[in-house]
Amino acid sequence: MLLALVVVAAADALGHRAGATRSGLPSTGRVGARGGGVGVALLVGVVTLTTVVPFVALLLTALTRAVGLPPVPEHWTLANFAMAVDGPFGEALARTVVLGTVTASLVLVLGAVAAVAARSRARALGTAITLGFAVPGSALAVAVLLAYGGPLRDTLALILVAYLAKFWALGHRQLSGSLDRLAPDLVRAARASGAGPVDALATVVAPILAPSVVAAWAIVFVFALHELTMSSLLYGPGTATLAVVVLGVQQLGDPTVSAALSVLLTAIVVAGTIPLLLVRRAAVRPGPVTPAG
Amino acid sequence: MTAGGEPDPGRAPAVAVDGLTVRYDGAPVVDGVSLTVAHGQVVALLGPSGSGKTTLLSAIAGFLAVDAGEIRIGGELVAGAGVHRPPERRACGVVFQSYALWPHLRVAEIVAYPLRRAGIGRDQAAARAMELLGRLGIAHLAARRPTELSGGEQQRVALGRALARDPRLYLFDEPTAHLDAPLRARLQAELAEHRRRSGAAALYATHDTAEALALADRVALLRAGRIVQVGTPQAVYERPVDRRAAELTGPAAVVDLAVVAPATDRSILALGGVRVDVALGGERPPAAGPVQVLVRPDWVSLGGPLRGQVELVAFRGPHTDVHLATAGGTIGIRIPGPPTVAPGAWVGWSLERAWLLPAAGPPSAGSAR
Repeated sequence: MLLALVVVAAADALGHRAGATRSGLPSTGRVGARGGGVGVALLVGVVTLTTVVPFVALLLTALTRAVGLPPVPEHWTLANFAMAVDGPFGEALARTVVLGTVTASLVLVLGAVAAVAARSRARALGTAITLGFAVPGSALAVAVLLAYGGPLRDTLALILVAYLAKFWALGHRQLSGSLDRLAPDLVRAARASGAGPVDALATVVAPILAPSVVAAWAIVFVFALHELTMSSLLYGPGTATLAVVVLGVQQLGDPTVSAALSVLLTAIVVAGTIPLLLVRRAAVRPGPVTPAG
Repeated sequence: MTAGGEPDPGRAPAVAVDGLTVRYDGAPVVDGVSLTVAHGQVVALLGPSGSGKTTLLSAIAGFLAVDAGEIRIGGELVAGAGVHRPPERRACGVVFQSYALWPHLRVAEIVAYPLRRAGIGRDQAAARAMELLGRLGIAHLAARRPTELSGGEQQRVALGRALARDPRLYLFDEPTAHLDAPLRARLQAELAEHRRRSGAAALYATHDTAEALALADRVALLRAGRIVQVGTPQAVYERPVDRRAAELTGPAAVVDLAVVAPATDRSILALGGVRVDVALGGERPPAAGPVQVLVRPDWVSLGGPLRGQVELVAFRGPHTDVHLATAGGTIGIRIPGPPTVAPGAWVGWSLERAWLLPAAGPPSAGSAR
């Protein structure tokens, strides 16, 4: 998020300058070829500094036997990964995937309910849902802890409640956006072409909404996978999530193992993002679709 | 007129709407409408936006429930008296203003869709769809998706889908409203031709006067959810029920003059002290005294005993529109070819024909205009 802001601000400032020298008008949209080249170079530089360098360091640390040794091939090992998987990681991974799956699925249902309700003029609901996303995770977690810390202490359900409050907005936004694009005439055209209500749902509504439903699910799943703020405030014995475990190992002073854990966490999140990218691509360049019927 | 002949009295009308009322949030959008489309006929629903055209079509198609009245399609009750037959069981082919093409399907699949719904096998439906696309001149677009088509192409696909349903009744909801003028004219002609060949009846909603007059057997004027007049295109153009109906059916000038010697055929009228002999028609026979009459551009000509000053000259290509300030009000004259007069000039003109408008306008409360 911060990275994005920095890059956008830098590119924007550059665009302003390039536009101003040419036309004397503040134009952000028309950056000259030279300005564009500098902008791309700056982008690559910032991305290298903020993302590539730390990740290379992370990967090398995870592969090296001990902190302090130079990260050269003769010191490389997979022992850190073995230790990471052997320890609390496996359980936390399973727990996190389950939590992410349940959260994403419930958020879809809640998002659909909210999107339909918002269509029939329940505007306040949308605002309330967005508020859940805007409230800082730490504040939300404390609030959830105070409200349900008694009955739900040390359960995944406690974390799930916080996740639902936080990520409902993501599902709602995605679904209501696609529902808005589903013009009523599209369904009417199906009915007027001889399709019954169920048939129209299956052949027109579902295929049109499917990409955004998959995208909404994947977004919430990925967010839930790497959520740390609320999880670290709400976890108890046996309910630590992956991000919490990574943080814990790092604080215990084992950087090589926590580096290995971080690499695995990143790999899982990236893996979770792949369906999202596929859906996005499919939305842009549609593949073959079976004929109607 | 594009219809294939006279209505067949032995057959039930393609659609008969009787006392139909549809409300949105309690307010009637269609208000007690009765309208019949005979088998094989085209009726244009002409009205400004908001007059209830789309709502009326939606009720006939079955997209909306009716609040009062009934609808019969081909003699069968489909709506009213506790009956609401769903759209898929009303034999209507609907062509939407928004085209309403499904973005996830290809053109051939869209046109095959109604055929597949009707239980036709995949291969046969595909072959029939290709044949329809060929007839519409868009066979080369079969593998495209709606987003890859121009507006005109999209509407041809939408027409293909409606034709594939092979209905007894087409419902056109301003199908050419989103197209630019030259394409609109061409597509209007194509729609009319394909509809005519199918032999089915059509209800064609439009706010385009020229379109309505050109393609319909009968024109129904819709205003604020009510039908104010139904008649042949010529009848609604020449004999509108009131001033606003006149404005809806073509260029209309209202002129104040006096009837000096009323007669059933030609009356003597006085305008600005000049007496002229004019074919004056009206709902009721004219009486002597001051009246308001409708004057169409083709009912007047330049040169004659009456006097007027040229206000505005608009060259339109094949013809020129001239606005003339006269003693009775401003009139429009349409002359063939380029302008022959200049603004500001005093010219003579003559009045061949006029239509008597009702003395007091009808109650206009709640009207859409």
